[in-house]
Amino acid sequence: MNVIIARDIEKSYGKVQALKGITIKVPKGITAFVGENGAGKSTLIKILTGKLRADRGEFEILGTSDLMKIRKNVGIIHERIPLPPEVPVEFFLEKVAKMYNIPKKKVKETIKICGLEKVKDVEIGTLSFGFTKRVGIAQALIHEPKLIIADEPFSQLDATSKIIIKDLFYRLYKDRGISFFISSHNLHDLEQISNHFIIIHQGKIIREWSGVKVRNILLKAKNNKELAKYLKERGYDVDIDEFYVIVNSPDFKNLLRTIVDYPGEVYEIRSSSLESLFKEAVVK
Amino acid sequence: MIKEIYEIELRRLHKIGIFFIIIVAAITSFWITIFTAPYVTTNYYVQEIKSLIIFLFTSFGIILPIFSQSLVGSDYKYGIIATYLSYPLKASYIISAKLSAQFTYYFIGSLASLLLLIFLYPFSPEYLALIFATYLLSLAILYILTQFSLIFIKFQPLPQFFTLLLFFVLIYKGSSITGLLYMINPIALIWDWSAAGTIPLNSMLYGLLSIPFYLFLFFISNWVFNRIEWGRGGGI
Repeated sequence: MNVIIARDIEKSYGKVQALKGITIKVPKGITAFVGENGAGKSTLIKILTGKLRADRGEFEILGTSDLMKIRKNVGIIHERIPLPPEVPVEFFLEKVAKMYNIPKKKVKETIKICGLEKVKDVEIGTLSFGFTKRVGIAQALIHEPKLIIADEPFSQLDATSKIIIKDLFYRLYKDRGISFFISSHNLHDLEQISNHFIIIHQGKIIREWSGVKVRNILLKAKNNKELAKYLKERGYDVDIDEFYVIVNSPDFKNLLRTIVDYPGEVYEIRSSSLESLFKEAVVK
Repeated sequence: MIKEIYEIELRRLHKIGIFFIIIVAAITSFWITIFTAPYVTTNYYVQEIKSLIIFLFTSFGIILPIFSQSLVGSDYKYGIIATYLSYPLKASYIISAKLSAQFTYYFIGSLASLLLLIFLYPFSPEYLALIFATYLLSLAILYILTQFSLIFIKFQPLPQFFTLLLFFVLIYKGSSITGLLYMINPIALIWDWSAAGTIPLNSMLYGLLSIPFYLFLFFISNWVFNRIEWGRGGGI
């Protein structure tokens, strides 16, 4: 089941076309939504969360396009975590929980999960940025959403906070089955925890693929289509794009043996990382 | 759900709440002193109280909405409204909850001065009822005008300019109230009607039109809030 389906989403700001017909299908799991500054990531997230209206196109989140239903089942983490600074952490989370008819017990549990016990009585405005981000995650998590949409959750964080939040995301996915749609520039962090990847560039989706981790093998042959067909026939999970045949999470030894037996010409074989894929797709 | 946002906003105002109460109480007391002191021993206080009420309304009308517009505007820029919008709430509910929290403090502040006025001067029960009704009506009108002006929250300080312009017109025209002004300021109509006696029919008509006028402002602003693209310029 796909958690997000968007079709032909277009959005312009005056003469600048920010999104040029975005069509994506986001499966369950952790999806990395990667793109340069101004690529259209935040615009798409704002459209999906109802902050902006698309000029064209439609979308469904968790099988519905009703905004109120979406907000009931989705948690949203904004980039700058704009939370009311004058209220204490626990008080704020209790009020958010009450909006969703969630019992107080759950607030305590969420505070514990997000590591906020020590600061629960502290006003949000006096917290460090790392802790404020955690409060942002807690408020998005408190109603047990099926999906969390996070806009640049790792930006401006120190190394320790990044590790804590990254681990938290991964635990929430593994233990509670919460899916994530994360936009970020931090490719390395996303590579470690994501299993689906979407690259956006100048308002267009230019690459999309799935894998447990991005330890895929990239192959370039004289005839990529033929090579892809050859590998598929031998049971490999294969995708093909403009430049490469991508073999998803293969047994490397077996793949090498198969390639040796391939009758056509193979020019290049290497493992991929998100950064290299991003570079090829965007910088080229 | 609106109740939870109201409670959060009330808590947020807690720190500066005392400041609100003192400011609002001081303004009320100031006007009470100026407009009642010379006349309290005479029998003409009906007319003077009308002036007092109109000036109080005008001074509140400038100060309270500008406070509110600035507070809501800063939250909009900072993105707090965008955070509230990630919960299953309509934008109009969020604005209502925020304004209600602020007006709770205005109410407490001005009520203190109003009670002082009532203790100091020997008003009859009818006048007391009238003063309270006028006072509540003033806050209700200011609430609606503030909410309506917040439609232009993206274009600050346009709401503040709108408020200043409206109330400067009221001050300028305050001494010779025309029919149209009875519609903008029905408080004057209530005082003319109940305290000073009869009023012209066309003025009364305008006064009655004030009800649909304010209802229109209230509903049109609710309608607009729920359709505004809050993400742009919303600090997220």
